[in-house]
Amino acid sequence: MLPRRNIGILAVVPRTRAIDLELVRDPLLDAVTAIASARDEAAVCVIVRRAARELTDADGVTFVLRKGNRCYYADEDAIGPLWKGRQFPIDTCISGWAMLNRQHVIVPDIYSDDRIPHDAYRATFVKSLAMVPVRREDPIAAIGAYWAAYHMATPVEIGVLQSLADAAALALFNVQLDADLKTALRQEREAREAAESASRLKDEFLALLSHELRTPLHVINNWLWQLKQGNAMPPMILSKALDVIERNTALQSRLVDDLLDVSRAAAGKLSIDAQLVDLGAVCRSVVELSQPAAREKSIVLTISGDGDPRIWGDPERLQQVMSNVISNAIKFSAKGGRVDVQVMREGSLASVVVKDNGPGVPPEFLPHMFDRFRQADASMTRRQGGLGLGLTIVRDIMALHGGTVRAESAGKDQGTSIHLEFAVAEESRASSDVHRPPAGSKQPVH
Amino acid sequence: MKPAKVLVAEDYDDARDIMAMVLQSAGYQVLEARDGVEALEVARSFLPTIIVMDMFMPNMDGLTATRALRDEPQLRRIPVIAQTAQTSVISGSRELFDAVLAKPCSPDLLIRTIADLLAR
Repeated sequence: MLPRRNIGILAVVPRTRAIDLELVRDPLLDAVTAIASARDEAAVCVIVRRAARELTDADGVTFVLRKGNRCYYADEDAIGPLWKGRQFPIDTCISGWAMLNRQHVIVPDIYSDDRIPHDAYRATFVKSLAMVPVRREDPIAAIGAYWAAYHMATPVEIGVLQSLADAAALALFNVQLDADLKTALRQEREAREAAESASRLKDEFLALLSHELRTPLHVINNWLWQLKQGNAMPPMILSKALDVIERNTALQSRLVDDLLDVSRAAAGKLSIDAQLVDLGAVCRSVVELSQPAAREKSIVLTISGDGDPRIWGDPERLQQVMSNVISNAIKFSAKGGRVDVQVMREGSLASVVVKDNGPGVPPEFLPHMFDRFRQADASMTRRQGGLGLGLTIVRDIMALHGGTVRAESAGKDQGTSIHLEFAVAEESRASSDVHRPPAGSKQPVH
Repeated sequence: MKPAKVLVAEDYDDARDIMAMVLQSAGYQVLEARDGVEALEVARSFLPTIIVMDMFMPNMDGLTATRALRDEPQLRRIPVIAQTAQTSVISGSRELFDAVLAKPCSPDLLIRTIADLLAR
């Protein structure tokens, strides 16, 4: 039974604005066609609100999108401002009611219906409304029509609104499908490009590996042939032969060791045997061992520092880290350059900085310096020899020590500095408190 | 008869040294160059009988240097042996070379190849 007061009002306000199905049929078909060809959400909104207002002869129309548990008043077309851009909880507004109940709602007098949040309406012209859900089986939006004077929406008006809503549902579904398809295509393309790039890097690396393994072998083979000729060889030449063979054998062993380290690290099988280590002593010993290589290029290699920070680590692996970083600095510095190693302790942080005044690193390459198979300039590698795995191994070993490594360079010809940071071992405290990164785990520096 | 002059273009000192020694033992006069630019200069100045060219070299690689040789009337007929640890780099330009030898390459093969090319 209808409430009495509605009947009373119906009696005094004649329905002068009711629309005729015959008159709206063609414009409705046009609107549905236009909605079907809309390419995005905004275009659907625009056509729907315009058509809904014209065809129902309403004083205002809103297009409300469901955003989770909220109703978002996305768009409106009205004689006065409604709620465009605002959001309301789905269970407090009438558009939410239409969506949650999957059915249209007709409210001839909003102030006599307690589903309506009256406060939100007081500032508006609205007296009567009708609301239809978009996508009836699982609503994603709603279309509202509003009248300034009392109006009971007719079945024809509801039919028009629902037709527009159904067309909008299909259009929004298509828009979503189109967006999903584009996203899927883009993701597929990106994945393919990444795979191709990785495969290219791997091919280049394998070519380089083959070159770097064959070159010392060629030297060794040629010397062995020469030694086997049976000619009396002056002792100086013989001694040179042994030096060259030894050096080239060491070069190959080093390549093989590096390759094994990188492949172990990639498989998560690189491990460290941690003990208390004097970081300063490790650095001094590596600097000492690197002096001949530095002298050969007239490079000044220095070490300085305050205190001898002690850290938890694997002395052999730390030696490898320092050796890779320092030999890299020497390798990429020009003749007559300098390489400075600085060991520091700041609070609970132990750090080593290895700075050279070599060719520097382009800023775009800095983040890739520690990547596998990556080198800034392939032609540089040819000149310098090696596979460029040194810094990758450094990064992997640092991770096992719970430390960090990063490279800095101000740019071309500005030199490069490698910064290594470790947590200082706190020996004075009880052994259970000692900071000790478990072998094989990554830990941030404390 | 004057000994044939072999130009060895190779950036790796250890490799260039021993190849020079091997070729001298085999009775050749040896000229040396450390990159493609030097190889062209030495070739112009000393007109070698034959060239053994490494491919991966700084400043100018062996492929570029050989192309340049083929463009110079005085040098274009000098036989060039590509000797490289990575034969794939010349896969598309094989016709530039009179022979291609992969490293590691035995001196016997190199000497035989040189002798064959000089006998043609």
